[in-house]
Amino acid sequence: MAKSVFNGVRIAGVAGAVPGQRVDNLTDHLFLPEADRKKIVALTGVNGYRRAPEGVCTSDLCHTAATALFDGLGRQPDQIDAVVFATMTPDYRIPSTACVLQDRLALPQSVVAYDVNMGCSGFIVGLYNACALIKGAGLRRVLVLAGDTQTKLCHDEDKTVVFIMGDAGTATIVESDPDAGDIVMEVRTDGSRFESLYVPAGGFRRPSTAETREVRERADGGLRSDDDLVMNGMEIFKFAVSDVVKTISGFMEEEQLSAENVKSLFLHQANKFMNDKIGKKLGFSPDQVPYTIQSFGNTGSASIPMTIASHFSSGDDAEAGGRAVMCGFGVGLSWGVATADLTGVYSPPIVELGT
Amino acid sequence: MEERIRDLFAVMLQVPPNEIKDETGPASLDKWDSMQHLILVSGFEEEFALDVDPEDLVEMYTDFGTFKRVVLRMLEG
Repeated sequence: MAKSVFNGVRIAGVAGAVPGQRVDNLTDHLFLPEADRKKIVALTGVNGYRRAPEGVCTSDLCHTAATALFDGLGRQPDQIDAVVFATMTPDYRIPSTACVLQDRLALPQSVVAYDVNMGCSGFIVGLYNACALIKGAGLRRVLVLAGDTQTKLCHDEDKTVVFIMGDAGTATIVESDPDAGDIVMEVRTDGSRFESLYVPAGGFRRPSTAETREVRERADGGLRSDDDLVMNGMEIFKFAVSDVVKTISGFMEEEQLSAENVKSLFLHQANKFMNDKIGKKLGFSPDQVPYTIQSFGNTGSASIPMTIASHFSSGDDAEAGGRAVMCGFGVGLSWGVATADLTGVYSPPIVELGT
Repeated sequence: MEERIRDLFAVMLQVPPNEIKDETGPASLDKWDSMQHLILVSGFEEEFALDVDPEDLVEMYTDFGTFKRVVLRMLEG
């Protein structure tokens, strides 16, 4: 069990950025009948999302978010000791995009910079890395960049994913603070189920070829190639409502947390129907479980920080902050739960790139 | 009640009711995919004022006989 307690570490600020290009699930995706589109929107809660155009990468969105965070929080790039970039959609196969971002963000050459190849649990794993670097390696301040442009992984007419997946990038500053409370985290992994959510070809195990790029209708009715993202929806649902719920529930019990002493539950934005079930199962009322899925969809590793930034900056919560439980789950399969006091966390409004 | 469940199930999946047997499952009915399953359950929750537990929701994705049995159990409970 990778449960860890990090004392004297706090999240100072969280910012999010999205592409300006909007996708509307009711008026786009005309390959499905209107009645089907309406049903899917009602179920998933995703009215639309943002899509990064060609040439805009996850790093660009995270760069925009980081710039907004530096400006708003009054931090300087030379105050950063490490940058951890959590994503499934890096700029290049080589090098780590974090190295490129070191230069683009004018971070000092003394920073530790690396990518974490994670999806929906990416923010939690990135936060875990940041806390470990601060407490284990003595760093003062770590920039966690978490984002994905997963619309680029999906075939445009794959009904199993195209109504849900959106693009976003975020930046979070985690810093050492002797007066801060604990950040407690538990990360879990089950690689035996990796094929429930993955891209079959295009890596080194099975390189992209003309055959893998061939688009055809699959048994689940989705239209895609082997170079596109494939999701076994029911397996992921089972995973979320069993493994993930058990982990959060056990974690909360051990940490003596409950819906009564936790202000907010920030869940990975998978789909609203499923998240409603998870929140209810854990005893949370709907107003304790913020969403961004209606506007931004499932934004992979960005979804938790996007929801925090949106919730804290929008005025929805007059007393932003308080004890929070956060849980990311998905690709890997990997899942992680964290608790932190988010009182005082700075969040600027979500930035639109290219508008 | 069983007929009502079958009819609603068939209407929501847009297939003739007589094609829905107890052994009909996602593997034999193309339209019953995971997304449609969630839409189905959501529709049954609304129609019968149910609140389907996540474990039951997963169990219901076995075949129509199981789906029907879980709905009946919840209606009786």
